[in-house]
Amino acid sequence: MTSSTWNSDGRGPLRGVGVDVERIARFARPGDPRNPLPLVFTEREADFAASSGDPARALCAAFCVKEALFKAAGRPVDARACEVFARPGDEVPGIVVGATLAADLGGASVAVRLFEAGGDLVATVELRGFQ
Amino acid sequence: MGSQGAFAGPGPVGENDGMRDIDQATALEIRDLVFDFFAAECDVDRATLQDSTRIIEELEGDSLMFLSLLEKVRKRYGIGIELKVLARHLMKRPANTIGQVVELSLAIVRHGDDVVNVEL
Repeated sequence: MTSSTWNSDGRGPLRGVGVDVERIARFARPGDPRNPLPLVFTEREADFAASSGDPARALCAAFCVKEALFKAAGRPVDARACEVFARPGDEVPGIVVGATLAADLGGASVAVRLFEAGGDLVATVELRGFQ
Repeated sequence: MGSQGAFAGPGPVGENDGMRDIDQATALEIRDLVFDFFAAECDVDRATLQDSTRIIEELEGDSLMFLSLLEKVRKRYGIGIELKVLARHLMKRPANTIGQVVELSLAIVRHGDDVVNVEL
């Protein structure tokens, strides 16, 4: 059992929180193509993962964040419109939210945290801002 | 669900008012693809899987597994579908059993993005 505690420095009222956990090894299967899920990952994310030094972790982090974002939004969102670039050890990955998705989220700010425990990655996503 | 329940009936694979017809052989192929996928992913004997097998409770399946299956179906049949559209459909009509995933896969091959308007 692992726990993690952190504070949020986000501004504005909390509009949603999402949490997801994924096993990193599931993104390191022999024979998988460079982009195993083109419906989820953009080519930029796949390129980043391939050059990150730990492709499985980078893809796992991106998947985890997208799932957490889906949960925070409380409805389906365009997974490819939120690109996630996590290097090994990153607690706060780089994210790029496309304009359409940003509008879909009503202009809410997106704050992401990652932590790793026992071969799993956990992502939290906070959506904040005035409606 | 009976194994024939999701079939469109005999006929060629083709386009019909934006809907792709699926012949019985293709429907069986899709069914096999789904069953083989879950047997391999979950490391279980395919013979133990049934239409009524519950994916999360009995096989410990999850969204990643489902998306991997969707990619296989999409690549094999050249389907254009957006994940957001499919997720919207699944929120209305969850696919909890293998039989429901077979039906959903058939609907995706038939309707692509229009699957969101399909009542399974």
